[in-house]
Amino acid sequence: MTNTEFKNRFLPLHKELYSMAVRILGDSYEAEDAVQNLYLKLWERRDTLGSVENDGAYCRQLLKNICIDRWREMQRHQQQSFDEEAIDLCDETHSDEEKSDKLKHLRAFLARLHERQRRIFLLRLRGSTYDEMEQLTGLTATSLRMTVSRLKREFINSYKQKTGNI
Amino acid sequence: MKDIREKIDRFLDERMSRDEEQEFFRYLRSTELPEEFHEERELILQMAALQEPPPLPAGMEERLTAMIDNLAQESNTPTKRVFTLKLRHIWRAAAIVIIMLGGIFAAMWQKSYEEELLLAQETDTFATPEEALPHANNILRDIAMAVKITHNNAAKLEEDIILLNNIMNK
Repeated sequence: MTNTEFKNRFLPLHKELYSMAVRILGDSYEAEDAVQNLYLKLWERRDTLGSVENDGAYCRQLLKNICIDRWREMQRHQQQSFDEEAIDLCDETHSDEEKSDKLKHLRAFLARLHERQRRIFLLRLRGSTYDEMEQLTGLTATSLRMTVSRLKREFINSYKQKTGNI
Repeated sequence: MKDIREKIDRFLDERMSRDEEQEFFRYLRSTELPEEFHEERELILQMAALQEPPPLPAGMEERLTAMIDNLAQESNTPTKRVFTLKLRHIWRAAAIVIIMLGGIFAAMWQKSYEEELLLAQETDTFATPEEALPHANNILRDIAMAVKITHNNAAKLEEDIILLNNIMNK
């Protein structure tokens, strides 16, 4: 496969792949690095990529494995920027006026959570599937589902308590 | 009202599929709800905000393109390099085999010569020293010759090792 063929075939997928990496890793630098790592792996396998039928699914699976390894590595090193940046990234999608207030309550709620709960909640809120979350955390889908459900209700109730609407 | 409550509960209880969730977020954004649900809607939409795709970092596509171009450039030369490396390995292996064979033959030759000397000593039956002297001189000369040959072999072996090291270090 030539350089041009490779770029034409795989480069258009980078936006979707970056979103997926951010969803799992919650960190823009780590996410971009994971995507670069993916393209490096693809290039190394370029001679065998002819048999791949679904490029998107193939890339997503490879990237998921890269991200899971990286996520665990980040957990081991207790990366501090992990949660903060996950919220900041979402804030970037809003206008400056909205930014100050839009995610204020969610940010405050997340800050109060235990580290492990916060990571689980953020993974789910960013759109990770339970299958991905099981692989990342080592917990069962049932247990994760219960945790997320409880945290969602706690979030709603904590706001209601604060405003006296309960 | 009951319908809205049910949807919210399904969302909070994690009983919605991903598609249903997206549909629910669209519904909350576009539908005018009774006031009692305003607060919950706002909070749920805060949670939904985290699912919005993040903006791509500036210059990411260019960085990826440059990386692929570099990889393509690098992979143009390795084919030649791999061949050179393989050829070099063959030369190394051949040199090692030659040196090892040389060493083995030298050792075998030296051993058989030593055995001959021992046998000669065992069968020494001269009656007088005068009779034995020319034979002893011959034997000493042969020993000196053997030492010289061994010394030469050792020097040659040393040269070969240096040569091999030079080849390996290239």
